Parts: sequence; structure tokens; C-alpha cells
Amino acid sequence: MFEILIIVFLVFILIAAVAAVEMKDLLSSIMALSVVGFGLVIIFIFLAAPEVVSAQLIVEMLCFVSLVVVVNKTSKTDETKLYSMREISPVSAGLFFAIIFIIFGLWGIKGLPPFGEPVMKVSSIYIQKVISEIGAKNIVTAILMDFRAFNTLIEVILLITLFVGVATILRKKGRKDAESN
Amino acid sequence: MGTLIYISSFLLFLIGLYCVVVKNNLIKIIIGIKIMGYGVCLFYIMISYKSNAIAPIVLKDAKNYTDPYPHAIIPAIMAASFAAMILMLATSIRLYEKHKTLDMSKIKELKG
Amino acid sequence: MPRVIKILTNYVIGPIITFGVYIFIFGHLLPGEGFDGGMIVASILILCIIVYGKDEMEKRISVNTAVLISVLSAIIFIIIGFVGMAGLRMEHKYFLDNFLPQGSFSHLFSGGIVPILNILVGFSVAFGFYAIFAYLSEYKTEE
Repeated sequence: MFEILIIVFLVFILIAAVAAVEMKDLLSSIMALSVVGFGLVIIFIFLAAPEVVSAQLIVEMLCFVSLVVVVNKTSKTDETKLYSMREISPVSAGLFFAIIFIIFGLWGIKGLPPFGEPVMKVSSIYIQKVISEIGAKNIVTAILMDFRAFNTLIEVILLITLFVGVATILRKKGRKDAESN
Repeated sequence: MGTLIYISSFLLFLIGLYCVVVKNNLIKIIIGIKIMGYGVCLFYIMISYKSNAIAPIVLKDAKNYTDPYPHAIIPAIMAASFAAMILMLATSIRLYEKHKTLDMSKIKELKG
Repeated sequence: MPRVIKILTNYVIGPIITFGVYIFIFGHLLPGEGFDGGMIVASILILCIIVYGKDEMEKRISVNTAVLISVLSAIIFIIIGFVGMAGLRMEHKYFLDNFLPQGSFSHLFSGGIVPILNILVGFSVAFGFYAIFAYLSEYKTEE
């Protein structure tokens, strides 16, 4: 029963992703991308991952707002043609890579653990240590803030670097002239 | 049926890759990169699922938890993907100002 | 912006900011962490930019103030890490050590250093995203 629901939502996500790629109107394809994001949220609820659910929800909404802001400032439809027959090399290279990826993927899938029985070598030690040593109830927060605190520190620095990057790219020459005009 | 369900995340990744390689519009390329990121996140969470287990919050007499290790890494990956998308959007605003179009085949043409 | 949206936003700001702060203060007891709570507060501030306009928000929380708070939280994070290295616990002496005492289980003040780091990360993420969006939306393309 559970697995049938997960498979139904996976098929739904794949159809929405194909729709997002092929539509001509840019606002419609952005909405189809949001449908992929929210379908992913429902699948994460079925797979019992509450932290990932809230992170994915908020990031999805911020992405939607940013994309709509940019599309309003620039062009609104996608009026381009596909590659003509003269420039066939990118399409054939992409097709070649996709075929090789599928072959090796099907071969490599046999080595993965079956769905529903993870290998949890490191996580079992983490779970024991959290209950006995730290005394926090949320295992994921205890992992992120105590055992893996370096990751969190570099994440915060990444956000500050992102702001520096955006402020550098969107800088106008002579900003004081633009303000006085 | 044990491991065949992981193919869906590969298919999502390939759909995003097709969009990046074939399409000519800048915003479509950004959408393709986002779809590739979603495929990777889906693969990580599908690996960490344990049947008949509860979410990783400590309860008194519970025996099985799902794997908490990918649940800690994935929000960081999502934030990094969001950061990359913001930088790409800022660059595309600048390109639109200079060339008045978002068409990659027109922007790639050499002048002269 | 129509007046209905402004009046609704007036009522909605208070509860949602309280909810976001609640998530990152109680991050070690409930599902959710500093990252999630910070992004909820950031989305409310972005809603304020969209509804009230950039000039109004510039008077209350300017971009310079937001960047200052964000960078200050990261610096306090690093300072706490170095305090752990000074050796308050005899057998463990490394960067970002967990040196506060653990309270009783499922109490607010339990878990050592984890709640403090949650609060710092929440502030940093919230004001960082606010500054990025304020910069992205004020850019006027020349026609």
C-alpha cells in the first residue's frame, strides 16, 4: 500500500518535470518546476524525514519568488528554435552520455542495498552516542551541531560569500549618479 | 522490486541533463540545473529509508530509526543549490541588459 | 499594492515571526533546526519587501544592518569554537567542543552547546537571505 503511493507520486513528478522542460511560456514552466518541488515534499513525508520536508518547502518557495522576479525584469517567453541540423554535436554527445549513464546505472544498482534496509554503519554509533552523551532529543540537530559542526560553520560562511558575489555582479558603475538622477 | 525504485531518481537527473544540453534559453538552462539537483536529493533520501521505523527523534521505547545521517546533509546541499541559482540569475540579468535577449545562440555569436 | 493585502500582512507578521523564532530556539527538542527557523523569518521579511516597497523597509532594517548582524553571528560562532579549544573539559580539547553542562533530558537548557549554535545560525541565515533579496529586487534594468 505504501509503496504503491510512492510510485504514483514518482510518476507524477516525472511527468511534471517533462512538462517544465518543454513548455514555451516561461511562467508556466516555472510553475511546473514548483509542482516538482512540492511533489518531492510529499514523497519526503512518506519517507519519514521531517527536517528535509521543512527545508525543501522554504527553499522551493524562495526559488519560485526569485525566478518570477527575474522573469518579470527580462523576457517572458521562450521564442528560440532548437539546434538546426548543422549543430548536431551537442545533441549527439548528450545522447551518447545518456546511454552510457543508463547502462552503468543499471549495472551499479545491483550493488545498492534493497529499498527499506539501509546499511547504517556510522549512524548506529551516532544514535547510541546521542542518547548517552549529549542529551538532546533531536538526533539530526545533535549530529549537525556537535559531531559535524564544521559543516554548519562553512554553510554560514557560504551564505556571506553568496551575498558578496551578488553585490559584486549587480553593481552599477557610479551608483551615486544613478541615485541623484 | 527491491532496488528498481532508484531508477526514478536517475530518470529525473537525465531529464534535467537533456534540458541543459539541448535548450537555448537561459532560464530553461537554470530550470534544468534545478531539476538535476532535485534528482540527487531524492536519491539520498531514498537510500536512507527503513521500513517500519520512525523519524529520528528519540522516543522512550522505540527500536528502529531511519538513517539520520543524510537528513543532516541534505539541507546544506539544498542551500548550496539555491546559492548557485541566485548567482546564475544575477548573471543572466546582466546579460539581458547588454544583449537585449536571453537566447544563448545569439549571445554566443562572435562579433564582426 | 491593494489595501487589503497591507492590512492582512499587518496581522500576519507577528505570529509567523514568533513561530520561526520558536522553531530555532527549541531546535534540539522538536523536528526543525536553526536553518529552518531562520528561513521562515527570512521569508516573512521578504514578504514585507514585496508588500510595503523597498523604501519603507530601508528605513527600518537597512541592508547594511542586516549584513552586520549576519557577519557578527558567524564571528561569535568562531569565538565559541575557540573557547572550547582552551580546555574547559580535561580530556577533550578540540575546536567546537561541547563544554556546557548537559541538563536533564528534554529540558530547554539541555544538550550542551547545541541551543546556542542553533540561535546563531538562525539569525545569520535570516538576515543573510533578507540582504540578498533586497539587493536583487532593487536593481533597475536600463531600457
